[in-house]
Formats: sequence, structure tokens, C-alpha cells
Amino acid sequence: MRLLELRNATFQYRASRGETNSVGISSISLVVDSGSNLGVIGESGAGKSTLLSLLLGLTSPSQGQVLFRDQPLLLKSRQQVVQFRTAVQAVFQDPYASLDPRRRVDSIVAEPIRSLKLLSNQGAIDERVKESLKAVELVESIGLRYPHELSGGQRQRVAIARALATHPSVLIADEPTSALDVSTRIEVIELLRRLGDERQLTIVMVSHDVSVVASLCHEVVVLNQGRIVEQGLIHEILSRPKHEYTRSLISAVPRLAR
Amino acid sequence: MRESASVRRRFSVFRGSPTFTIGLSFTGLIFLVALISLFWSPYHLDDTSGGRLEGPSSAHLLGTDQLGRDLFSQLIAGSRIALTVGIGATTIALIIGAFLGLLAAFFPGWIDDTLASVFDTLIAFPTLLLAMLIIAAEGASLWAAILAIGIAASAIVSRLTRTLAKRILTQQYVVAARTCGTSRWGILRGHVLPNLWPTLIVNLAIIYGVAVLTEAGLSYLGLGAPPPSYSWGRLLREAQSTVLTAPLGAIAPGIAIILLVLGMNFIADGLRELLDPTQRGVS
Amino acid sequence: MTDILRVEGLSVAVKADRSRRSLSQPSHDLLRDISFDIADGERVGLIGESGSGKSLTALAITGLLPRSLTSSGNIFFGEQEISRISDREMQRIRGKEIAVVFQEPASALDPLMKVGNQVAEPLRRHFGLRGAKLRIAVNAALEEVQLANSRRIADAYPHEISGGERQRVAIAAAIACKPRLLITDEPTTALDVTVQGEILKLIERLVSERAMSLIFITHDLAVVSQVADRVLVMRHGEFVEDLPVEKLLASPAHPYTVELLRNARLLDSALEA
Repeated sequence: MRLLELRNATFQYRASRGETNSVGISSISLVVDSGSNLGVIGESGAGKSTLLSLLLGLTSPSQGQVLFRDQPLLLKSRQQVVQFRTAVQAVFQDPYASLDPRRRVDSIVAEPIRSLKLLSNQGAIDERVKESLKAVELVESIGLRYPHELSGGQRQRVAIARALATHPSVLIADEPTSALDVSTRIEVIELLRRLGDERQLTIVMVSHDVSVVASLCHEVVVLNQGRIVEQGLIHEILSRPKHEYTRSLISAVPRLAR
Repeated sequence: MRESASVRRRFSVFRGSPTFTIGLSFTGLIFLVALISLFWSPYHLDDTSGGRLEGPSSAHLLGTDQLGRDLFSQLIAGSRIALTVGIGATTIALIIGAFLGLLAAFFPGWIDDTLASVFDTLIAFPTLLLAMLIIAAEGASLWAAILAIGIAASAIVSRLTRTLAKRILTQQYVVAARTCGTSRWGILRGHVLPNLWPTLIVNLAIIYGVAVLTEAGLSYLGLGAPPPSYSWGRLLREAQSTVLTAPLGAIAPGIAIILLVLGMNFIADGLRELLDPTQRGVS
Repeated sequence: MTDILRVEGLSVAVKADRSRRSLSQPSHDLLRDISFDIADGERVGLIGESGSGKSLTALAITGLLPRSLTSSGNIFFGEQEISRISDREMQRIRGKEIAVVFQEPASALDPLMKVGNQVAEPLRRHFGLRGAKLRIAVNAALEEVQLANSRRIADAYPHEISGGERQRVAIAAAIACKPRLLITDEPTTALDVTVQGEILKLIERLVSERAMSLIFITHDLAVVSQVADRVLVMRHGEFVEDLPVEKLLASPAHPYTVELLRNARLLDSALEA
């Protein structure tokens, strides 16, 4: 089932006095199929943030369409908003910036439940929060803490717990491991993989790190300067990269010496 | 066991910031004096029985002014004006300033552009000048002074609120809140205000000091609350002519003003340290 | 083999202080009894997570510890003990004998100073070069780090050149006076992924051409395996492993290292098509 889709989407940045419009992304078409994790590989400036904004319904394309469950994503009625945002959640790059420093962890994880009015009973909300924290392997008592008391890896887990609170179908992860140590990276990846299997969650992972994407995703799309330069199954791209940029990205990953 | 730990934590506030404690003592003292002055005063303010321009004595703690009135009584009466104007003006500045600042931050586009230019223009004027302009139009009275200073100071608050709120709105946790389906109102209440108020409070403490100084300035210029109110600024004005022969008449209100304003600034400094959530108990 | 650096029993702790924070936290050591040697020309990788104390070690060696920290133990550079000398004397060593390249090229360079002047500064200070001789030396340094248009780069401000170019400039400034020991602290982490490999190769080439000793600080085991002869693994302010790199990859002793290696292998194997 097609959960999310971009059809020929283009986004141009509004010009500011005197500059010509700069293109964020151009004619991008991609599909997120349930059960098949999708990787978006590209460096900063490639158009990743724009792509994410579109997939998350935070902006609209200047041309083309964004589709959610085969329907155009309009987000006009409250009902549509609730449906979309319950199904599609996000984890962002910087674990130090994506959590409100003045909020306790349990309040952070409960936010989507409250804003989308998914549960009304305080007791039910507490249960959901507990369940989410457990799913990301954090102790229940961490709910009482504030973000600054946690390590980067723990913060990222809290961010994932928040995303899981709505029982989403799609999890969009923006460089979820880039701000983390190499040793913590694999833990987060394994966590995401396990969650994906256990909860029928499809993951869209955006990253410049090919090894991280390769660990998790079945299909990939390579983004360069706002365009898709290559796409296909991960093992094909790794063994037979067609585009020069793809090759340079793959060779840029430091390999463990034998 | 738990009780003593929480008591220790509460008092650790004072150990944590000596400036805050000092500031609190200064302003606390003046509050206390103002409170007492509501019920008791060594002499009635109209009592001109003391000799003229007498120095300090056991009968008159700070001496008398040129009409024989007790200076100390006038001083403590003046504390009520300073505090009233301070609180009143700061509250008005907060309400107007925060409202307009948040309006500008949440509605980018022409609303924001217009408001921003207004703020920037008003800020270019010194608070005293703005207050004088308003009083010149409305006439001098205590309420006019409070309103005028409040409006003048609101420009500072609006620009600050706008800048802070805008910055908060670009933070990743606000973007995350949007993906959680939080409405604009929810973001204002749940993310902007909680992250805004600490910095705002610190600046309000400073604005309080500005309000007190401005009020003293207005009264000194004869534009403050008209007699029979005993603003410190007015005391300074009246002591002008006799400052060489009876200096205490000017020194006393002067020191009182310094104490209050300095106290408020110290409170502001102390609050800044104390309200930083990263200073709270680390595991 | 002579040792260029000998660290003996280095410990770094937060200064005891009656501040509010120490009411809730006991003072603890950030570095605990660190001892290691670096031979002339040896390349040592210092690997650990953030908070393990690896950057602190570099700061201690170069006398750049923040004032809120105290250190004890000895650090010998060649024959000279350098952990207790005055800042003035340390300045003669820093930049000339020991040089550091940090993670953030943007903050390592003064944004208000032209790039050429920043490379010139150590040359001016340590070698007393002036005028035309200085200009030539600066251009040579920039060309050494493969910055093609050295004239243009020298005349530019840091924000006018790319991140990769900035890091090359930082490296040029560091090696301008031909130091005997180069310390690099996560030199590629802040750079675009396609540029990282080039910077690593550059560092390797310079280190071997000039027979410098190298301390390479990172959290990435894969990178260390490419660059280092020997690896020191740090955790919570202590060394848990000190092994030649081949031995580390083949049979690490400490469980923490085993874990690190397992994680690195998992990520690495994902790239096998």
C-alpha cells in the first residue's frame, strides 16, 4: 500500500528582494510503500530539508503533489490533520534541539497524544507514555527528568518515544544518528529496525551516511542538488552504483581496515 | 529525611546567588517600609512643628525641610509612590509589550513588519522623553505617570518579546510540536511562553528600575504626581535650593532611589542564574 | 626509539568549589591517572565516546585546560616537563613544537581576520618572518595543504571559503612551523561526508612526509583503523585498552572495546552489497 508519495514535486524558495528564486527540489517522485523502508541519501544542501518538509506536510510544493494514502495531502480540516499526523511521525536530527528544554520527558512524549486528542483520560495517557518509553528501552522513571539531564543517545530515544506515542504507520527519521557517537549509532539503528518489525512501522530515513541507511532500508533514493540522481534497491546501488555522485558517497564512508 | 533535603534546597537558592539575596534584601526593606508607612509615620506629613531645616536629632531622624516637616516621614511616604509606580508601570509595559510582541512573532508578514518598525521607532526615544510627551498631553497625576511610563517602557518589552518569540519559533522542538499536531495556540502556551518568561522576568526587573527612575525624573521636573504626594523625585526638587546648607534633604531620597533600583537590578541578575533549567539538579 | 611525549599519571578534576552545583554532586575526576607514551613518528589513535575525556587529554597536553579544572601528574615533551610551566613558556611550544587542529574549522579561525594573516601569525611569532619572506612562507603552507588558488584563499575571510577549505587552512596554520607533534581532535566530523576522506588523506600525507608524531582523536573506529599504528581506548576518563591497531582489530581484550568493534563491524558490513 502506498502510504506516502511525492509526484513530480518541485519547491522553490521565495526570493528575497533582488535574488532569483532558488530551487529547493525539482521534479521529485518517490513512493513510500508499507513494509519497505526507504532511504534518502544526500548531503546538506541537497534538498533534504525541503523534502522532509513536504513529506511532513509542513509546506506545500509549488508544483506537483504530495499524496497520503493515495489522497492529496491538503490538511484543511481538523479531521485530516489528525488522521495524517497520527499516521506519520518524525524524529529529527539534533537530539539537543528537538526536545523542549523546559518540559519534562513524560510531557514531551505525551504531546502528540494531547494535541491530536487521541486519548482523553489522564490515566490512559500515562499508560501510553509508559508504553512508549518501554518500547525505546528507557526506564519509566526517566519520565520525570528534563532533557538536559540526559545523554544524546537517551534524548534521541525520547524523541523516538514521542513519535511512537500515536502508534504511527510511518516514521520519518532525519539524520537520526548523525549527532551521535558511532557506538550509539548502531544501538539506535537496531532499535528502529526492531520497532519497525514489531509495530508494522515503515521507516523513511534521510541521511548522508550510506552505511546507516544501508543497515536499515530496502530501497534508496539518492538526492543531489534538488534532484534524484539514482534510485533502486540498496544492494543494487551498493554493488553497481550508476551515478558518479552515488559512487563518491559510497566511497566517502570510512571503512574498517582488515 | 526528605523534609530536610527540600528545606535545604529551598535555602540553597540564597546560597546559590548572593546577588539575588542582596537584591531581595534591599527591595524587601523598602517594601516593608512602605507597608509600615500605611499605618504609621513618626509625624503627620502636614505637621510643620519642627524647626526649619534642622539637622538630624532624636526628635527628627533625618531632620526637617524648609517648612518644618519631618524628612523621614516624607521619605517613607515616598516609598509608596516609588513602589506603586514601579509595579503599575511594569505591569502595563508587560501587558501591552508582550501582547504586541507575540502578535508580531506569530504573524510574520505585514503585521510583523509594521509592528517592528513601530517598536524600533519608539525605542529610539528615551523613556523619560516619551513619558513627558504623554504627560504633556494628559496632564500630570499619579495615574498619568503610571500610564505614561508603562506605555513608554512597553516598547522595550515588545521588541524583546518579538525577538525571543521569533527565535523560539525557529527551534526544532517547535517544528516537532507542529508534526505532533499542536495548534498555534498550543505552541504559544506550551512552548513559547514557558521558554519566554524567564528572560522576560529578568528584563522586567530591570524595567521596574527604569520606571522608578523615570518617575523620580518626572517628579523632579515637576511633571509627576502633584502635591500632596511625596515622591522622592519631588523631595529632590525641593531640596535643590538648600542642598549646601542641609544636604541630607537631597542625600536621603537619592540613596533611597539608588537602593530600590540597585536592589531590583540585583534581583534581575540573581533571577537570571536561578531560572536557568540547566542549573537544576543534575542526575 | 625515543619518546616524543610521555604522560605519567595525568589526572584532571573540577576545582573544589562551594557553589550550588557541588551541593548535589560530589566532585569527580574527569581524567583518572592517564599514562601513555608516544614514540617519535608514531601515530596514535585516541578513541572514545563523547564525555570519555579524549578532548580533555589533548587540552591538558597543550596547556589549554579551562581555569575551572585542575590537573596533576607529569607531561614530558622530549626532555622537558610541560605540565607545570608558565603560560608564556607554553606559548613558545604551542604552535611550534606541538600543534592542534580542532573539530570546528569555523570557530578555530577568527572570522574577522583574513585567512592569510591567520596562517602567517605562527610564522611571524615563532620564526620572526616578515614582509616578502612571510608571504612566500604563507603561500607555501597553503599549497602544502592543496589549496590550489593560494593567493585568492590568503586574501579571503573564513566565511568566504568552504568548510573543507577552512579545515585545510586550519591544518596549514597548525603545521606551518613544522611541529614535531600534531594533535587532531575530530578534524572531519563537522565536514561534508565527501570532503572528509580528502582531509584524512591530507593529514596522513603530511604526517608521513614530515615525520610528525600524531595523536588522532575520534569516536569512529573505522577512521582510526585507517590512520593509526596504535590505538588507545578511553572510557569515563580512563584508558581501557592500549594496543597496536592490528591486534585491536583481531583480538581486543576489554569488553568495551569488543562492543565498539562489534558496532563498527555491523555498520561496515552493511556496505557489503
